[in-house]
Amino acid sequence: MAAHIKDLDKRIRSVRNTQQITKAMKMVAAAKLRRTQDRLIAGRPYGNKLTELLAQLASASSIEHPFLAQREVTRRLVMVVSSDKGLCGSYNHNVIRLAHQWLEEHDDADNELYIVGRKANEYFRRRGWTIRKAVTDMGGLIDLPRMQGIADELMRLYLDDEVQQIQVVHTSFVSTLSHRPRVVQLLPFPTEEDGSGDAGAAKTYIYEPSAEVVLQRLLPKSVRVKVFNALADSFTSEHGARMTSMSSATDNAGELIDQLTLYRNRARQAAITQEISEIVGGADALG
Amino acid sequence: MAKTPYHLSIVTPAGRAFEGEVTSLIFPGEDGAIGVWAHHAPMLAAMKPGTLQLEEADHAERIKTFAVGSGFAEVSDNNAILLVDTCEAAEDIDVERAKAAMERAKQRLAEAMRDEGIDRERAEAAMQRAQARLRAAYLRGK
Repeated sequence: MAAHIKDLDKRIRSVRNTQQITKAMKMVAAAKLRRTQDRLIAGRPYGNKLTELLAQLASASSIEHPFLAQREVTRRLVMVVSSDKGLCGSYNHNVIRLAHQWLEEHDDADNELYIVGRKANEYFRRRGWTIRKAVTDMGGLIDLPRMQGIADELMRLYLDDEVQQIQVVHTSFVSTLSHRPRVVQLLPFPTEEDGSGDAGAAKTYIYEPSAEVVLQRLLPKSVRVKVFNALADSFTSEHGARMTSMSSATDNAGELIDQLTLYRNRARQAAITQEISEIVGGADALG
Repeated sequence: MAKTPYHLSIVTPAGRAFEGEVTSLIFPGEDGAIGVWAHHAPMLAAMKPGTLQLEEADHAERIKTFAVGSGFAEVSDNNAILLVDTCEAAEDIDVERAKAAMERAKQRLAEAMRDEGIDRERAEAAMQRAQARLRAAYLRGK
């Protein structure tokens, strides 16, 4: 009986240690979540305004640019954004499953992958997909120059006609508890069919130095913003997912500890009761 | 005659760098500096890295200087929005660091002239940024 109590004590201690680790991970994830979310939100006005200007310019003029031209697609680059580390619930599973499904549905061209995050890299490498490049050391942290570098690299591949289309599979951050994986086309710019741009088209602008130059400058900046948003959105989701899953792991550990403690106390009480009845039994026999 | 104020906001990917009422603004346009007063005609301009100066409406006589990266300026209905890569107030610029960055950029540019492998556009952009910062720091004293 005593041995049984000792075993239970050992288990309680081990669960408590695990709980401390998950609690620390939850706290780290919460801090990272706040940081990335702040950056994501701080970048929003810039991105929104840039998109607005672009829409205005595109509706006001008919300038040609490779980013706006739909070419025949023989090779397509698909960027998949996942995390480097696990323990973040279904975050990676969801985005990788969507990417895989999308790839199987779009086999009309040679698909190549540009991967961010070790998890997606392991998954697609094991299954023999063509991986042009894998970035596996961003660690879910926002690094503006690095993200711009990735955007520039993607644009170069597109302009050099290495690929004719670029899609991005990433996770969009709705709230700490809710993230949605999705596919968006990065290049060429998808042609928008809705007529909502008509209201702003009435204003006539002076373009300085010219509409062509302004558009030429706007387009690459817009790609950079889109890449930044896709990555920052995913990283924020990653930390949110990790925080949530570590939080429930901590709760589960707490429940487990409660239950084990109950068993241990019950076992201890049973041992004491038995001992007393043995003593009483022994005294009775003597008397 | 008091100058008419208008609204200006300077927005960067890292957040809002300036927001308020100003009476005049001079920013580095792609083909040279462009000045904006109130009631300017609607304009959309490309900006190159350089220095930007503005006069705040409630701090008459005080000119604020910034070093900005490349970007765009939209002016319409007495409302100006500048979208720039970076924006640093002249007060916050560390002259020693800016000088060091300038030296590095010069060296890189010289290497880029000889060696095809180095991205010349990048080196040039770094050079322009360093120049803008130094100029902004210089103008601050005036």
